Amino acid sequence: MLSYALRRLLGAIPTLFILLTLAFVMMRAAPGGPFDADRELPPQVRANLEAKYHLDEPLYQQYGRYIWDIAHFDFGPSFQYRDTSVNDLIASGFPVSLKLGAASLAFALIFGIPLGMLAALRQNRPADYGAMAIAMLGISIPNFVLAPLMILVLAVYNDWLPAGGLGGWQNYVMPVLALGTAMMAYVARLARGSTIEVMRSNYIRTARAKGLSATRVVWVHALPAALTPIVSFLGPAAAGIITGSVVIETIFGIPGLGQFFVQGALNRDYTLVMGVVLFYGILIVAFNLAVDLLYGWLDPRVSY
Amino acid sequence: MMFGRRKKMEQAVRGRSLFSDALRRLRSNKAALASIGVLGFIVVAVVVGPWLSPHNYFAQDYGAIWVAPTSVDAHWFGTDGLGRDLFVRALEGGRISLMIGFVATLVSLIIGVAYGATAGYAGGRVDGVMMRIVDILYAMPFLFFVILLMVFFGRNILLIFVAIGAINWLDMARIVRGQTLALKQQPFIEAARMSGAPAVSIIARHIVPNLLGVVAVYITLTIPQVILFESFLSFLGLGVAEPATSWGALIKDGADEMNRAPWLLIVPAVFLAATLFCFNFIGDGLRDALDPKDR
Repeated sequence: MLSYALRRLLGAIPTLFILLTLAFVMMRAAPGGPFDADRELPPQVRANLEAKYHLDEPLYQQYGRYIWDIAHFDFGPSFQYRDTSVNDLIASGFPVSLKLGAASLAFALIFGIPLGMLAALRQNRPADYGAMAIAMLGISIPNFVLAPLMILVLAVYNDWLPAGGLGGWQNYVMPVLALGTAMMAYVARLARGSTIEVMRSNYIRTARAKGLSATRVVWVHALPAALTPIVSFLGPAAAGIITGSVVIETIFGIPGLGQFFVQGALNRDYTLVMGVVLFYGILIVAFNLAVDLLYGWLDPRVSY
Repeated sequence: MMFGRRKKMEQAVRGRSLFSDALRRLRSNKAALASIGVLGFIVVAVVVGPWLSPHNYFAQDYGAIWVAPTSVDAHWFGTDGLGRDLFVRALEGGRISLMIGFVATLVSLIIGVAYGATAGYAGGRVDGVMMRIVDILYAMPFLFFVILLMVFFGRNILLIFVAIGAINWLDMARIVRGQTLALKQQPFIEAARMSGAPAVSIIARHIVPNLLGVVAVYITLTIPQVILFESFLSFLGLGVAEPATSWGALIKDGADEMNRAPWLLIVPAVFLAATLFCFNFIGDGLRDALDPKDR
């Protein structure tokens, strides 16, 4: 177990390295520099600025410095927000995004798993078809369609919920629904498939033959085994939530990391944008590692 | 006498190949059949529709702005703030969305099948290295890099194709490799190898055709993903450039003006959702038909 974790950590290094290199290359390949502002700077000022940000060094040296800084979690200064470092921006935006993402994931699991299991236990009956139709709708309606439609109905036509911004829990209801619905649909479909498979397995037949109650068979014997595919789905799910949050935060005007990313990209704030991408990349790699370890712990058949 | 009876039996058994079996199962799947119908209708509408309207997708008519859906002057789906006809724009946007869906899927298909089949057929160390590369690429937040590409190098439709295709081949490569590993143990592959066929032609002539079933499922599930992704880019203002449009771009415009003109949001949203819905149902139906494990 420990050696597996270590091996996985080592395996993550080339991934992160490629991520960093890609980020660096794109930063340098991007047309226009940070100081190509509205008016031409005097050459002396420009040279001083470039020296300050080490842009006058040879490329390999800049690359080394970049890797070194990132290894120390220093994402550099923001070009757009003067006197603010990218670290500050991430520190202010990430907690908001984390809250939104965690709530969406919780919503997806709490509603998706029972829905999928219900469908599986009533396979090929109306409840199954109903649940799977809901799931299919959830998958087919993109979050950037769902979000404006919800605003239109719940905030504009009826004044039930705030249309955007950040205040009380009411502000989180629509973003969480918009972000979590597709995820919930996927979870329901996975839960249905795995539950159907598990319910056919021998040990469930044994449990039934022992005369256990149906509730006990489902919740105690079948549930843990049925959950394993959902655990392995958590990795892609987290990545999906992160991308989704970019759009959702923009629509609802939530000052999270996703909105910084979009604003930064549109304003060509290269350091901010790269910082956010790297941060997300590291996050996804770490999360996938955690999920794989959890998976091995849940399913004893998986050996390292 | 004996001979004749045997022939008869053979005839009775014929006609139940894997493919015809799958087709029969697909035919009995009403949801998938209805989806094929609706999707066919959308495709025809998108191709033919714009010619049925007297308007075009870019002409601005300041005498008819914010017109709600009406039969007057053939503004069946209304107009936007520049007086452009939404009926034509929605269908024109559909052309772009669907085209991106098909072309980018094709790109990812070609890369994925070639890569996966090669890795699976070669096996051993080559396979290990090739799949390790896929694993590494898998962990990249490519979406963000695509967004950056769009910002840095401009909104270029060719770039969208390449970028989306280049991301989506990873899944395909994995699936195809797995299938190839199983296939290459089959006697007919061994026979081909023994008769001296080179590896390339074994892959192209014997392996790839046998992957078609899996590939068909994958295609129907990838196209909606790609359409969704393009819409996502367009929604962020990074997809196709004005005056050309796509469903995602229309949804963005509609979302900005939904207080004043909700039809601008609802029409493209319905088109997009219906298309994704149909593709997903067809993909599900195909998968069940080809691999009826859960039935």
